[in-house]
Amino acid sequence: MPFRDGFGKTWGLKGKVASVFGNNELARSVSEALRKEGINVVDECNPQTSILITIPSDMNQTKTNSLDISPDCWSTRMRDLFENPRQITQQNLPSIKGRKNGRIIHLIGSFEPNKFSVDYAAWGATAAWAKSITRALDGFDTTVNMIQSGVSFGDPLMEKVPMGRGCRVTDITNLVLFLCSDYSSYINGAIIPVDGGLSRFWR
Amino acid sequence: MRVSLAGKRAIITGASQGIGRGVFEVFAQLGVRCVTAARRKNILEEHSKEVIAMGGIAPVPIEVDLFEAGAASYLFEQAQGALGGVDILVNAAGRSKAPDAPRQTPFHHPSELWEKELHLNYVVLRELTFAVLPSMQARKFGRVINVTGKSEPEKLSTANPPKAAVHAWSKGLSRSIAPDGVTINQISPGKIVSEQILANYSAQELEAYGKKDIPLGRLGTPQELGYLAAFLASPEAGYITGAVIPVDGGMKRYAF
Repeated sequence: MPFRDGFGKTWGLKGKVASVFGNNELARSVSEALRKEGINVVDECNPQTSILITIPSDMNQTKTNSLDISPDCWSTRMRDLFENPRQITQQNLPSIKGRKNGRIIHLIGSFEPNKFSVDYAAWGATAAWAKSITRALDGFDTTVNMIQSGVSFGDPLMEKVPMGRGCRVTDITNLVLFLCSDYSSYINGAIIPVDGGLSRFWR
Repeated sequence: MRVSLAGKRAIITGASQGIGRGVFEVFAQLGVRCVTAARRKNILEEHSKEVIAMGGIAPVPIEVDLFEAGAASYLFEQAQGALGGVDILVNAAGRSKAPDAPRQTPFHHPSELWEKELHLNYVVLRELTFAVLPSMQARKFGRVINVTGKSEPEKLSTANPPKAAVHAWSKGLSRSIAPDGVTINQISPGKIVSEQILANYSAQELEAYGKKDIPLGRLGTPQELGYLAAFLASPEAGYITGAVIPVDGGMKRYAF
């Protein structure tokens, strides 16, 4: 039977090298969760890297009801939410393509606007681009997926979450580990919401 | 434990072949007590012997034809009796077309045949879900996982509309049952090696299709889908609901 021994007990990630880009609480928790699985976590380009995770530092929306947004704000958010993950991925691709079972995971936010924000366009760009690189990675045994996180405790939108609570760090790290593992080998180009049912449309 | 499912009780439809069978193999190894449902009980029984020999938990095979009236409530009652309750429902029964239907659905395809596919791919799945839901809500834990299909209609097909119906229906439902700790998610498979797909396409066609249209360059296995089903069924995935997650090697084109 092709059931792989150990599923459910271990993620089988010991000894792998993961690059985690992000400078916030979530990035630190993700790194810690990976280390607990025996992964060597680095925060720069490493030729041994087979797992890349990008987590924008400030994932909170720059919400406003005004269209009067400075060009500087537009370019900053586009850079933080799209350009940076894109460039980091580009830099890490040579090492990931050279390893078995490469994994690229981008943390993104919702693109369902409840107010006006520059962030929706940036997340949309990231999603469209990340989907398209799966086509360029043809034959490299590498998957690219996105985790779309919901709102955390204390967010004004929390009362709208059907599950009745904010997103916990473990809600995200559990899925990150699953996606890093060999058990997710055929999941590619997916956007997986971890939002307690908050989004209105299905992904 | 990274995926804690030991002791949970599940119904898996379409369990004799393909995706349902793969889900069962993964669940049984994780200690889930499964009711395996299909028309061909002899296949279920043969397969259960293999799974038990590999250390999996013995299932309760139940013969049921989901096309028959009352099939959903019959299956739920049988499962309730055999397992004492149902924590997880995996609706894996379904098909992209009837075995004797032409590969390309014609304009003049008879209404009763459209209805038949709608029944199998959506109606019976909905009935079974509503049958198991009250007890899940009462226990404050439940998982419904529907195996659907891609939502990108490549051509006229009897399967696309019912699969899309499942996506829309379950998104709405997910919002009502989330407060009770019950999640409902959809796995939309791409080309997964199964009896069905091997009957519908030749080996050469599948290989060419994999190289041309699937970024990972190959077909998937039922177990690869089973691992995701197990993860979604576990308490560890309790904040994921109302989602449609492709297991397709990157085949679908649309990003969002």
